[in-house]
Amino acid sequence: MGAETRWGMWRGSSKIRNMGCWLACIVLLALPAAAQLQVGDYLHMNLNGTVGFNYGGGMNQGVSDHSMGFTGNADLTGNYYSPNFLNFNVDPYYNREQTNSAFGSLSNSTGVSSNVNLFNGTHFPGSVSYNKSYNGISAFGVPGSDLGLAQHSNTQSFAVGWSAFVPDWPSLNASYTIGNSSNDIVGESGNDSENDKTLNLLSNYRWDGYTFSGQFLHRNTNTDFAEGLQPGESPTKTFSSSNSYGATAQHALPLNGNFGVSWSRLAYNYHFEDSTSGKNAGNSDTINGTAAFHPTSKIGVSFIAVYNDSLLGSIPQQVLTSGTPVNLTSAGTFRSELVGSDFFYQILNSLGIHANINHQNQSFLGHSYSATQFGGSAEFNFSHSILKGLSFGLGVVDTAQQETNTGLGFVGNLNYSRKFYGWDVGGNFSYSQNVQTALLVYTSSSYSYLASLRKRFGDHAYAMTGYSGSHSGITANSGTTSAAERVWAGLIYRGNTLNAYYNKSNGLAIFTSTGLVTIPVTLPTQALSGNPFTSYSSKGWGISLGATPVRRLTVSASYGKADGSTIQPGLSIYTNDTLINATMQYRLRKIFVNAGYTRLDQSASSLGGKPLMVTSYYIGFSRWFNFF
Amino acid sequence: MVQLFLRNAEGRFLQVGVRIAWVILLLATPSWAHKVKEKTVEPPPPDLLLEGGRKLHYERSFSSEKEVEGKRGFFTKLVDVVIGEPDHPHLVRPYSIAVDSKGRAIVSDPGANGIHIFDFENHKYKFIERRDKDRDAMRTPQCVALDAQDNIYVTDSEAGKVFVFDPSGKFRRAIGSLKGGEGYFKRPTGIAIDSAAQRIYITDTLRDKVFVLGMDGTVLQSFGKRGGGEVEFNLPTELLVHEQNLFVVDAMNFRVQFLDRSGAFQSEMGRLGDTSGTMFRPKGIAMDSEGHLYVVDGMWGIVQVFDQHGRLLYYFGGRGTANGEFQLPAGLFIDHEDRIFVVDSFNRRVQVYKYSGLPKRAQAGQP
Repeated sequence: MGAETRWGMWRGSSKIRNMGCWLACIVLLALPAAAQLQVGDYLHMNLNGTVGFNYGGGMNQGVSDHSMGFTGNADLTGNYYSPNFLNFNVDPYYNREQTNSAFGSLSNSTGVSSNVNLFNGTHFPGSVSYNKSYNGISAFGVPGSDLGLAQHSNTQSFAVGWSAFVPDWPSLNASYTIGNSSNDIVGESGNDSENDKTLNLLSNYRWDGYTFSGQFLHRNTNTDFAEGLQPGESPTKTFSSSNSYGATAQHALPLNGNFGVSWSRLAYNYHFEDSTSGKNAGNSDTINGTAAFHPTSKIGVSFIAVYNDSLLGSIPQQVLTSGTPVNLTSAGTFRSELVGSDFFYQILNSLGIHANINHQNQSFLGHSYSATQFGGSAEFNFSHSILKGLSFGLGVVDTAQQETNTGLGFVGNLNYSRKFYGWDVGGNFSYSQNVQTALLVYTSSSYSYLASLRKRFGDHAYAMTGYSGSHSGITANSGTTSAAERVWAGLIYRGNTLNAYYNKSNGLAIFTSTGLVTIPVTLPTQALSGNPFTSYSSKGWGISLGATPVRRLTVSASYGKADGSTIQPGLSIYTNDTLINATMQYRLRKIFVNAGYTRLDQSASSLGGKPLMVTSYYIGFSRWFNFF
Repeated sequence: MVQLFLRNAEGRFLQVGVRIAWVILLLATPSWAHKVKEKTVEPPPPDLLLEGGRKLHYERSFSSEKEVEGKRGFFTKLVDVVIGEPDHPHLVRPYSIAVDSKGRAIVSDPGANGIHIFDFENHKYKFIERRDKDRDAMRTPQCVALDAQDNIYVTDSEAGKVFVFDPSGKFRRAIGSLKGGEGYFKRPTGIAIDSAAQRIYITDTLRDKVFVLGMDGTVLQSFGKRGGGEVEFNLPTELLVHEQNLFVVDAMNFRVQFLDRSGAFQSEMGRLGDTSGTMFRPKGIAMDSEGHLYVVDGMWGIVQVFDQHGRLLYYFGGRGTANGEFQLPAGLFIDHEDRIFVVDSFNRRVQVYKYSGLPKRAQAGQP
């Protein structure tokens, strides 16, 4: 189980006496404290929390372990002088059972979260926060899988924020965040870690009808990828930093119009090391100018001018919203200039037409493109109710280039919802096909479907089942399709639930330190260089039960199984998870009796890897106190 | 928690140090307690001294089962210390109140989806709910009234029915429950019972009507329509039956209409305004032993008291959270001892006043 010890507490009978003394102390401390504590004239505090004692044990690869010890958590809130002047909360927890995690209590977590707010309601509010969590359990994401891979994680973050809102002066928001995390997949050697520093400055100003804004964002991210999932390969280290600057100005124009210009610049620097090393650095500049008029509610006309330079730098952030860097090498510069105009007229409520013209120059991967596009489109939106519950909508966009027709884009959806003999029947099918022009011109499409059944039995029982799926259709590159399908069923009777599911998925993804991230179908693979793609497929099924057999007693149990494979050229990794988890809680006034059992079989390695089997259980009680 | 983090150390000094820390903590307990600022008991508002020696005295407020409890014995207190006090049901969003012949306060609570019964004399509390029933589930209990046998009648504005419970809280029947399960009324709110005449009066707020029912639930008569004239209503809400009169709170006409029992117009009182004697959000009404009409104004958080001619005598309350102040007050009830119960809805409590009027002899003009 890695470096963590599940019940890292002390043993020995002589300690029992000490525990009793501690409990006595706590009770004595709690007795006189029934209201808010005031220290001095200005500091007011409230404290409540739970103190508990647990016995636990486990089996890790055939080696048993037993232990016992304290658990607890607290919530300290307070203010100095007044809540607006300074308020704070500190929430520490010690050996907390992770009953809220899908992986149950494979480990107990210790940490603290805290926050201080200053000068609320004034022109200069600020805040400071600090969070730390040790020995938590989280999931290494696998697209389409409900389980993922269990991983230990330690996280820490510190943030400072401050704002200035002085009347008639530009506003300013400044924040600085430092965070780091380290994860290791249970049963695998090696450790993934990431640390991140972010500085964000934002200012807004209104003057004589103009609205100005400016922003600066600096981000520095360093990661270490373990070799655990990729045996034979060296650990990967990445160092990336980026500075982005932006400024906008807007002003109203006659005829319900507005005018705006914006400029943004992204400067990035990326360095990776594994068996080889590489560097990548570049800038991306965008200048954008728009003017739009709406003389009537049915007519609109707009003009646009855009200049882009080295757009490549912004694409990875579109892929990975978490900001985790990926392996990039420079694929050359990209540059584009575009000027155009669009005219819109709404003929009917469900019919609108667009006419547009633009001229565009693009330079990418050593090729230059130049085109003048004449576009015309009509948008139909129908929403008729036919056959009591059937409705559909259709939108069509046709883009024609000077040289040739680039294809028809449309969006369609079909919905059905009706009640048959007490059964709520629902269905949905949608298809979308679009012409992408962000990088070159190409067509992409995707479709999804859903069917569901639901019935109510009496006032307290429900049954439901459904089937859904989503598929990519036309993609920018052959062999990059993805698909996901899911079947589920559930029963609810009063407060008791029974659910089951089966799912399977496949597609393309990128390895990151937090898991596999699916690639959007709209992204051309030329945008990412090197060999970052991983083909994945996974399937799994599970069943879960939650019940309240008697008042104040809740029990839950779940079983889940997932198999998956990720294939990179030259490397195949197979994952196999089986997870059994059960928890129980009984509450008697302020006393809680808790118990839990978790069994995890997990393997995540190339063929022949040894699976890991971990079993853990615990039972204990805790008492809630309102200390003061 | 020093010991927890130093668990691996086994030196003698450590053990001694830990024990010293215990002693310090235990000795420090009284000083710790000294720093605790006990919840101060808020002073009650001063008595309101009125003309002719009349007086309005604030008695108390109640909000949860805890206030009903009797004195707790040593063993009970010990159990409380060890495993904590039990969860006392609390008023959530109380709306209406009635007090039965045994002095029990019956409070409807749409927020808790039920009815609270506070029996202060016998130190008992009961909560009535019908949330999970297959048939005639109670969804939004609104106003409550009692008949001569202390049976409890509750309007349900969402279900469109009136629920009847016996004095012990046992469900008896639902008035207005149609065959398909839906309610006969669109939005029943106010309810008043004339046990002598065996009549139940119910306002259907969305229909702008007052329905007159027999005790078996049969609709005998209805009157009213949308408008601002006589026996016309704009969202009527609460009702009060007193002697031969039926008082109807005509909420969005900002008045109280006085009708006779057959629904014929007698007079009216009130007008829209934000000054004393006017109404903005009239809610509960009640009448004391001297025939003064009490009207709650939810917006201003006050109770205004009028004489039989509609003249303002005085008012009490005001917006706030202190004793004697209200936030969104709603229901009102005056018992036969002139105890005034005001449902202070947003403050989640009921405040109780005692009105001391003139002795009967003085009322009759005798020395």
